[in-house]
Formats: sequence, C-alpha cells, structure tokens
Amino acid sequence: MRKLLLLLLLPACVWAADPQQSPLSEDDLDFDLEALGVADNAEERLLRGNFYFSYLTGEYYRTLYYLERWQELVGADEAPETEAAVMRAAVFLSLGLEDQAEAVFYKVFEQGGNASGDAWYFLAQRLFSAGYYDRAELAARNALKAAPGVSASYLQELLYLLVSSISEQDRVDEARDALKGMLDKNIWTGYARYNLILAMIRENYRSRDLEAVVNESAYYLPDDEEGRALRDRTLLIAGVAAMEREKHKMANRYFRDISLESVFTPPALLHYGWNLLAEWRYEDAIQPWRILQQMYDEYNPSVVESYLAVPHTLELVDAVNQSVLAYERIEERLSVMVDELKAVNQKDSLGDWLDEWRNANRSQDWGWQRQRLSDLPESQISRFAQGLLDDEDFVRELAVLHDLDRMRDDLNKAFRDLGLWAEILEERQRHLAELGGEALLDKLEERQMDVLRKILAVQDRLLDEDETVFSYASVADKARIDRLRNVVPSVTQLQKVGTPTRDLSIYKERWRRVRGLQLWEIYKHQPQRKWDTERDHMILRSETDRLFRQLENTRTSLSWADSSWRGFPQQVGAMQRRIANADAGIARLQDNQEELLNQLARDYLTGMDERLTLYLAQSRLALARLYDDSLQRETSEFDPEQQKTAEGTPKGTGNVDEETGTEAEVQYQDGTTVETGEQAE
Amino acid sequence: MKYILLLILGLSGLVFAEDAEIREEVMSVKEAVLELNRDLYELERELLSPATTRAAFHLTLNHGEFFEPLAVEVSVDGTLELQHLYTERQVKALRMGAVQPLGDLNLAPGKHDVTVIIRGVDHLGQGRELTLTEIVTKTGKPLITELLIVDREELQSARLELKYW
Repeated sequence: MRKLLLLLLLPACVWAADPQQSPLSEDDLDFDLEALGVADNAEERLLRGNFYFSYLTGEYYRTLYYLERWQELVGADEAPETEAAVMRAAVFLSLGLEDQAEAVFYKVFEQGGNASGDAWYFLAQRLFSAGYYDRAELAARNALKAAPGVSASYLQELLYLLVSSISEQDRVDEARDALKGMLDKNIWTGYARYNLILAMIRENYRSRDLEAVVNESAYYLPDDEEGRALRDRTLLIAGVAAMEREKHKMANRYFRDISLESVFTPPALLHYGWNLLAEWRYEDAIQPWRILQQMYDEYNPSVVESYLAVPHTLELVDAVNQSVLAYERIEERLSVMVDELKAVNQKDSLGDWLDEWRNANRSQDWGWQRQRLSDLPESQISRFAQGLLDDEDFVRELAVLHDLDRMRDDLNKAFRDLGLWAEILEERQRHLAELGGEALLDKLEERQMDVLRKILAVQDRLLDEDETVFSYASVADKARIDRLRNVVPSVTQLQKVGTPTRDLSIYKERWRRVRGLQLWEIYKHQPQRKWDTERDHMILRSETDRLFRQLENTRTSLSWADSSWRGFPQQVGAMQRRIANADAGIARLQDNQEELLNQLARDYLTGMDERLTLYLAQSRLALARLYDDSLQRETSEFDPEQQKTAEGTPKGTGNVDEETGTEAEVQYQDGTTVETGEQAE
Repeated sequence: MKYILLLILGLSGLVFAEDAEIREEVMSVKEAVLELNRDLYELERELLSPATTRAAFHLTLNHGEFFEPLAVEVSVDGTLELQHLYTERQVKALRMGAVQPLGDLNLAPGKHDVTVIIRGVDHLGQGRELTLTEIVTKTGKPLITELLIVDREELQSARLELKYW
C-alpha cells in the first residue's frame, strides 16, 4: 500500500520546482554590455542594446528583428555571432519553439565561441523550464565560467539551475557538491534543496543523509509565504518517503510540521492518517481525515479518499454501528456526486467550460507569457476535474490552445491593420497625384525668384544710398528737406523783387541754420539706420536662402515620397495573402486542439465517474456485508454451527474474492489501492 | 494475451506518433507566425518611416544611480513627436545596459530643433527633470540619435546628452 502511495505522490512532485523569476535588484548594474569585448560602432551598439531591451521586456518579435539587423550589420564577427546565437536560442525557448532552439543550441556548442555569462544564464533558464536538463547544466556551467561573468543578482538562481539540472539527472553527489556554493538562507537554495531531495528519494539514498538535507532545508527557508509553501512541500515529500521506508515516527513528525494553510495540506492530512493507520493507531488516524473533511472541498481527491478511509478504520476498531452510519452517509453522498458528474460530463458543457477559460485569458499574450494563464473557471466541472487541472499534459495542451487562439487574434489584427495600410497607400497616392507637386513647386520657384529679384534691387539701392548726401534719411527727414528746398525759390524771388529796405539776410541765416540742424539730425541717425537696414537686409537674404533650400528639400521629398510608396501596395497584398494562409492553418489546428481538450476532459470525467461508481459500489458492498455479518451473528447466537462460520468471515471494506472468500483491495480515486482488513495491519 | 499486448503497444505508438505530428505542426505554425510578425514589423516600420526620412531616437541610461526616468518627451521643431512612460521592467532593462528604441520620426532634410524633457526621480526620491535642446541636421541618410542619461558622480546628479550620426 505504501509503495502505491509513494508512486501516487511522486508524479506530482516529479517536475522540478521552478519558481517565478525573482525581481531584479540594484545589483543588476554590473551587467555591462560594453564589457563583451566587442568593438562596436554606434549603430551596432545601439542595435545590440535594442535587442537586449526587447528581450528583457519580453517583446520577442522585435527581439528577433533586432537580432537579425544586428547580425546583418556585424557580419561574420565571431563574438557577437555566438552571443546572438545563444540569445536566439533563449528567445526560441521563450516562445515555446523547442526544436528550433535545439538546432541553434547544438550549433553553438559545435562552433564554440564566446558569449556573456548573462546570455548563457538566460539560455540555462529557458532550457531548464523546457525540461532539457543536460543542456541546462551545460549552459549554467558556461555561464559560470564566461567572461564577462553573470550578474550578481542572477548568481544564486544560476546555481539553483545548476544544482537542479544535475539533480534531475539523478547525480546526487555532484548536486550536493554544487549546492555547497549557494547561500544557505536564499530561497533559490531552498528550491535547489527540494529538487535534490526528490533526486535522493528517486535514488533511494541513505535515510540519514536525506533526513539531514530535509532538516537543513526546513531550517533555512525564509519565513515568508513562498518560504512556508516550499517548506510544506518539502516536508510532504519527505513524509511520504519516510512512510515508504517504514520510518513512521519520522513521517509523523514531518506531516505534523506541515501547516494547515497551504495547498499541500490535504494530501499531507490524508497521508498522515494512513501513516497512523500503518502504526495501528486507528483512533488517531481518523483525526486528520476528520480535519481534512471539515476544512476542504468535498470534491477534493484527498477528501473523497478519506471518506472511505474513515469507516474502514472504524470497522477495524469494531465500531460497527458507527461504520455503518458512515458508510450510509458516504453512499448517499456518492450517489449525488455520481449523478452530478454524469450531468456535467457532456460535450457541450465541457465546451462552454473551456470557452469561459479562453475568454478569461484573451488579454494574455502567447509564448512565454502563457505561464501567467489563469486557472479554469470555478464550476462544478472544475470541482470534479481537480486532478485533471494538475495534470501537466492537460495544462500543456490548454496552453497550446491558448497560443493558437492568441495567434489567430494577432493575425486577424494584422490583417485588419494591413487593410487600413492598403487604404492609406491608395489615398496617399491619389493625393500625391491630385496635388500636382511638380507644377506647384515650379510656381513656388517662380515666386521665389521674384522675391530674390526684389531683394537684389533693394541691395542695389543700398549700395547707391551710401553715395547720396542725405543717405538713410527717414521719410520725415526727406519731407523736411523738401520743404527747405521749396523755400529756396521763394527767397530767391524775394531777392529779385526786393527793395533796399528789405533785409533777406535774416531769412537766409535761418534757412542755413535749419538746414544745418536737419543735416545734423540725419547724420546723427545715419550709422544706426545704416546698421539696421543692412541687418534687415541680411536677415531677408538668409530667409530667402532658407526658402530656396526648403523648396529644394520639398522637391527632393516629393520625389522620395513618390518612390517610397512604389511597391508597397504589392508588399501589403502579399503579406495579407500570407496571413490568410497562416490563419487557415491555425484555424484547423485550433479545432483539433479544442476537440482534443474536450476529449481529455471527457475521458478524465468518465474515469472519475467509474471510480466514484466503484467507491459507491464498495460502500454499498461494505454495508451489505456489515448487515450480513450482523444478521449472521444474531442467528449464530441460536445456531452453534453458523456461529463458527460467522467467526471465520473476514472484516473489511473491499471486494470479496469469490474464489478464496477473503477481501481484495479497495481502489481509490487517484489510482491508489489499499489493502483492507487484517492484511493492512 | 501476447497479441493484446502487441495491440496495446501498437496503439500507444500510434498515439505518440500523432502527438508528435501535432506538436511539430504547432511548432511550424508558431515559427511561421513569428516570421510573419517580424516581417510585418519591418514592413510597418518601412511604411511609417522610409529610410530616406527616418530619424531613429534611442535612449540609454549610463548606470542610472542618480536618476531614474519615469517619462520622456521629444519635441522636434516645437511639435511634440514622441512620449513614453516607463515601466519598472523597462527601467531595469535600461539599467542593465539595454538601449530603448524610443521611436522613429520622419524628418525632412535640413536642420531641426530637438527638445527633450525627461522626468524622473533622483537617488533621494526627489522629482527631477532633465532637459536638452539641440539642433540636429538631417541628411538624405537615416538619422540615428541617442539620448544618453549620464551620472555626474561629483555633483551627485545626472545630465542628459544627445549624440547623433
């Protein structure tokens, strides 16, 4: 029984602990791209930086685009080629393209070359997630000896990847050696120890060593939510392993230390009960099962199993009446559950169940981001299919369906966008044709030439101005000069017709004085006016020059615009056809995947139905047998012969072997079989 | 019994083969979509900013000890052309030495006034603003610019530089 229990639990623990990536810290400052030893020019450096930026922010389409551009630019230079290949493998793995990543990975190892520690670290991380443990180990080792080395903030995670990769390959001693380089209290060390413990259990390692690693792990784990969950998980597998080795006291200690608040509590309580039962502590065994039934959902596989375990134990302590009552309650409950299960195990309802989940995850991207997919919706189906939802294969197929959904969405969006682009292209070409760009530019050029001619005329005038007496005189000055000039004929006339008594010298003196003042005024302002005029003229000249350049640039832009749009409509059309083809292919795969998932769910629920029906049958059989025993006991009180027969009838809850007349085994929901009756003791 | 076993083995082999085929098909579709997306990105980039008028703006953070960017605005000739709000993940990527492609603009040949305002916080958590105004010359070739936030350790602050090629 215990072997079967261990086998039951191990598949759930087989996958390595792969916690979420820890947030980056200030220590990341020592990640220095410049230290790669690559003599980049500016464009190469920026492209490489763009590539890392898109990788680190999870924009993988762009990552591949920049990577390609970067490689085009750097050509056959060896160092960036290796760096790029390592990163390309990491991107492929991030997007779930394992085959492509594998091809790149082998190429890198065949060719050798240098890459940064961080590039190897990213690759090791993805390889480990994808389950390529041997290659993850190689990548982790490369990261540790690469120059420049891995960032300080990644070091513990990298060591975890190394220890876990070795542990997954069941090389326990090497893993223990690698573990020595880790910090005791780091959470990554906790995960590494967990994977090491799994390997030690698989390898049937010495109990003392195993116990030491378990105690060490429980002691050093941080006292936070993540640390406590990992502690419970570690204690659970250690407890089951101890049960398997018949170290029941140790197993009890591990089970007792598990908290009542984690996802590992139900299996821990269930196994704690079985462990106590194995020590013949029947009454104690019932307690954890009672707690389990009170605290957790009745559809939980552990709870369902405990339903049958309780009356079975009661029967072992000769509490027949209580056992009968418990069996009756279970029989009633199981009947309801079987009816409910049959009602939901329909193609349409399973389709709706899946659709609800698909709609809930519409906002998620595909590829690496799919790790953030939500759980399936809470419903009666989910309650029955709790075991299925923990099944890696089913979850992987769900992720594939999600990826296909999102890819179709992406393609549809791209198709719509391209349609809009096609419209814009058409619109712009029409607009360009209607604009009559060339003619318009010719007109503008003529106008510009007119302006230039006027400016040149102004320039000539400025040159002439220096030669004049009243240069740079203002309009008012000129008016006054004209007025003075007009006075001269009047004075001359007066002189001609003048009498001896008329003295004109005063007028002449005044005229000369005014003239002098006027000249003074003009000459006083002349330098400033000349300066201002020349400055304005220069500004005007530079403005017309700028206009001329602008005109030339516009002419160039017009010719570029015309040439730029040529060929784009054809490219857009070709791209739309590619999208339509890809969409048709994905639609077919999507239908197949939907059908596959529906079938998987139906198969699981049908299996569950059969199992619950078997439990139901067993509980009814046990009831019948208990009533029969009771009847026989009553009758044997009056018949000595029958009394002898009744004493020879074995106790238990399982099927009665028709040939031997002894009990067979009870098969539980998760495939466990439990020996019943005296044999279990 | 032997025949039943063989039949079971044969059926399971068939199922594995089908699984592998589907998996391979999904992989090849993913790869095709990936290539398609990459080509689409390139086409859209070409459509939005042809090489002749393209001006690509990048932002880098040299250490970033004294300044953490929160938002950036780039104006060309008085018109706000690019703006971006940073996520924590992007800032961390910048701190690790990555270069952010801020965006591509279409600029006519000639001189252009580029004004950049980067808002963020300093190492004490106080709000700070780095500004820069510079004239860049666009020729017939694509213009590549880099906005560089550099720490000034002696002043415990940062400054903004613009380089272009």
